[in-house]
Amino acid sequence: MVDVSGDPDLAARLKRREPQAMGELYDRYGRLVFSVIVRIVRDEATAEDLTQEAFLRVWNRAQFFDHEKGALGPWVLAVARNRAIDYLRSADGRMAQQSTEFDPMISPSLFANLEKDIWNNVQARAIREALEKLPPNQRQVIELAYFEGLSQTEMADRMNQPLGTVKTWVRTALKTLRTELGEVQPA
Amino acid sequence: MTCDQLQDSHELYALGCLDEPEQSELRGHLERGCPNCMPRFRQALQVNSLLMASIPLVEPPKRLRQRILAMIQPSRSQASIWAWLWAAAATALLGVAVYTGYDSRRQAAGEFRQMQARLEQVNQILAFLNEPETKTVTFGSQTPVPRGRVFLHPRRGVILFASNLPLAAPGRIYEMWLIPKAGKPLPAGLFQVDRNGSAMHVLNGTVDLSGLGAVAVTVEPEAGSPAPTSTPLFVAGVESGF
Repeated sequence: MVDVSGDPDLAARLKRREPQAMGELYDRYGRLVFSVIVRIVRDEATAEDLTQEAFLRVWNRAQFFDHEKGALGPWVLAVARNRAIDYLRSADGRMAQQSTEFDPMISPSLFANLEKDIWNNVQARAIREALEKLPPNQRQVIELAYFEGLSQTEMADRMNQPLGTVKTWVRTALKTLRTELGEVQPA
Repeated sequence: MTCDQLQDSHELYALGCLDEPEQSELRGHLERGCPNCMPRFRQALQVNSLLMASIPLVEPPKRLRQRILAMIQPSRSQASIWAWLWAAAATALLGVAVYTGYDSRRQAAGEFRQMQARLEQVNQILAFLNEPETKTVTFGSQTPVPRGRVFLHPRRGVILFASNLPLAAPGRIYEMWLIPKAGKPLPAGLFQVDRNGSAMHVLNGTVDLSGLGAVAVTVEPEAGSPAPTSTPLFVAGVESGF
């Protein structure tokens, strides 16, 4: 698992545009970022280019990251995933869907106040085990969403299933995964 | 839509793959700082992060680290290119500012349009260079032979910066070529050098980077040529992996 204990200091140094901080960022998250992108695009050469682009985006946007509140790793991973999904969509001719390039969903501010040691606790293993135990249809819709960026409508087309059925699978799968983290109670 | 109606939508929203109208509805809740939806959304970010972080790891190639560090530490020649661009932009802007102080009836409209076009070109080049997908190849060496950089972008085109080029003879002009890995060189535009031997040339349009073998420049008749008629002054090889 990734050691995130130095993330706030690393984020602060990225904000100050220290080049050495970029090296440390890569050393800390490069393998994970590359792995996620390979998983999505299924080609290591392409993943290499996209990993470079993802880190460049992080470098360019680090100034907006609140290093005191934000969880650096999840944000870096979100930037990387979205770059890879954008590539898939352009390759598949699905760019009618809005590019995530300037999508506010990956604004650094959204990752403020996330649990900082998100990857250092047993919940990471629990989520992986829970994913493996999902029924095949539920696991498939999760993978289609996370690693191909399909909407539920697109999933229904791909799986040749009614939209309502797909929504049920997604809802049930996510509820199972959330349970591993402890369901959040509304205000 | 109510918070409860949207409670199962947060993960897909965070992934950017939520259908409408839920996407707009949930965005509205989050933009308002909804006390029910905000904690659910943060949990969704956590679920998403953990899911993605739980996949089997693949070792990246060792060169990737250096590639990433190199892109944020421009070389001296790239820094000088930036200096050139800023100087060109400043000159164009100064020209515009000075022009607007003149009586427009005295200043030729053509000179003003030239300055505007120059500024627009500089803006275009700056945007091109800032694109994350832009690749660079260098050619030449530190000795006074033609040298420079070529910036390649799959959808925006090519930008060539060159120096130490001799002035083309009267009736002659420089022509750039895109040389595919297989096939004949493709004409990629005409340009001249300034009195310092420097040149900047822009080719707009899509470029098949994966099929591109090299970028070259020759001297041709001033109307250009459909195929090279002289030995290239330089050839910048494009490394595989684009």
